[in-house]
Amino acid sequence: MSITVQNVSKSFGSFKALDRVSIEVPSGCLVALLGPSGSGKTTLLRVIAGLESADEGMVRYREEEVTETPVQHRQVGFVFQHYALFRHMTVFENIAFGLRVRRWANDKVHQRVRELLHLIRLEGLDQRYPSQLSGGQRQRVALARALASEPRVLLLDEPFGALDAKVRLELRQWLRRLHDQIHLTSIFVTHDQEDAFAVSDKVVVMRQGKIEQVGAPVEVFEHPANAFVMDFLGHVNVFKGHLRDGRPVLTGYLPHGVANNFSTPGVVFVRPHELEIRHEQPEEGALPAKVDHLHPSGSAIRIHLRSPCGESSCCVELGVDAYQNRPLAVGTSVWVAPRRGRVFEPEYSI
Amino acid sequence: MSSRVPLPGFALSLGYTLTFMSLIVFLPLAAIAWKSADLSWEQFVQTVSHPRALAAMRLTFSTALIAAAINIVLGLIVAWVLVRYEFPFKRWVDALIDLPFALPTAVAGLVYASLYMKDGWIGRFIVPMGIEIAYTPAAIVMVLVFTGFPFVVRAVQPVLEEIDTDLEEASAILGATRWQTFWMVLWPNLRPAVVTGFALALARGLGEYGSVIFVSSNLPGKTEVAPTLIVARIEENKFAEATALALVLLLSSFALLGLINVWEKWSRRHEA
Repeated sequence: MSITVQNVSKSFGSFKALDRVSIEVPSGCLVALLGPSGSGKTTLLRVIAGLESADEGMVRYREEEVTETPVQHRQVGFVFQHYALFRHMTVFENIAFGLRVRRWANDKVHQRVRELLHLIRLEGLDQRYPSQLSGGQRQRVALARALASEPRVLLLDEPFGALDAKVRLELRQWLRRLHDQIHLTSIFVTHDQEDAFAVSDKVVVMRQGKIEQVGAPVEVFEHPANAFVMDFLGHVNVFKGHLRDGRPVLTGYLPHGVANNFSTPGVVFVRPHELEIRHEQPEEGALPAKVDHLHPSGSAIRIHLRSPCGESSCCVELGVDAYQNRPLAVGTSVWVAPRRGRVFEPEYSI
Repeated sequence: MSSRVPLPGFALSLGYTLTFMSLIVFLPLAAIAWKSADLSWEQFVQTVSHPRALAAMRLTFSTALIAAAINIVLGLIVAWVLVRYEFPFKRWVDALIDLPFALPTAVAGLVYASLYMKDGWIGRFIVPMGIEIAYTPAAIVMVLVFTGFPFVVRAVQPVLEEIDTDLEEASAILGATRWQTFWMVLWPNLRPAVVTGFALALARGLGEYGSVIFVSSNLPGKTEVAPTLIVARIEENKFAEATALALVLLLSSFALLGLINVWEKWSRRHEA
């Protein structure tokens, strides 16, 4: 079931949480709403669910307008950030809740709950109480409860937010596989770009109640629409500089603190893996730096460097193999040269 | 065992607790039992099974139970409004809840009696309609509601504050009506606190004397509660009989509260 949001606005007092937001989620698609806190992503999700009413605009599930439909009748599955499991009910009764209130026959309830317990791989734990489960298990129970009465759409608020790193990775893969099995139109909210990229078909990047960019994960990562998206979707170095014939030319460091000001003109954005380390001074466009700190990060080595005067820093990511060909010691003086860089039109709004 | 506790003070605080519990609670209770032993077993049975004593006990327990039950409903509503809504003078209303704790209950009794008397502010309208409240068991229930009411509010309030609105939203989004949400989601979470409030209000009602003597006509066998009867016996210098009645009142209250405790524990069984 596709979801359409048209020109939805929502204010809390003088704070504008959503400012004429429109999105289109095709049927069977898994979409991530990505943005920093206060960007309006959770509010948008709650408006779609019916937990919050829009000040203006409308929400449709396929062709049916649901803007005014009360939440009880929208038939949506919703997974809360902190699960909101009913702690006085067993796992079984939690999952069965949506069926009980709809007065399903007892044997059908049992059958459906067994199916879901199998789906979330928690068979045998059905008589436990939520307090006796781990975080990941609670999350899965919350998901099963949301899926029990066969909702038309599934909405998840920060589904991985409260989990530790390892469980998070597992659950991410599991959620993706689950979605490939059941093909339910789903939207989830996250502030973590890795969550968004790992799970979703499509990413919607939000800031200050507006949508900044919509696209497939690779597309958004490779072609960020503006400096904000570039910065938000991963680590980025910001230098003074410009492009010449499409090649970045670095002319100096930016003082600390300027880096996040997206309206600064004359800056170049370079991702850590797009920077190179040179041991001799190359042609123009490179900057001198001193190795400050090395830390391994999966298949890459992250090299943190400082400007000679010491007040600015940058980060280079090297493949482990490339690094091992020519290891670096802390304190070594080198040059950093960009292979690729981006410039954005400065923003004048806000 | 105490040497294993990293923070010192266990022995001292336990000793302190036992000393004061003994002086303030156990000793007077033991004295009641001791004094009533002045009676022979036959006299004891005769005293407590006297029709007047039985009627007083019945009235005490029934009015206290009814009042505590009414307080559940009233207290829940007031706690709900105080927790969930914002309105002008909310803090004032919140502070007023405790008034029955502070007010001498005799004052409450006098006020209720004068309000519902034949020519009181309320009585002058309802007595001609045939509704007699002053000096009847209904008046007793009314003052017990007044004195017990803060217990339920204060027991429920913190628990209600802790219940996340997430739970209600989850329930609604799963298709539950407001009523289903209350019964299936909120009530089971509130029940232990309500039981506590109920038990406290009940205990308060069982022992209430000051307000009841003013609103009740205190007729033996009709509108006389057990505490009033005990005082009457004391005034007749029948101390042993008074303590015998007190002992029965005490033991049955204790049994009732114990029962409530068991129920409360049972309703908390999901808490690991």
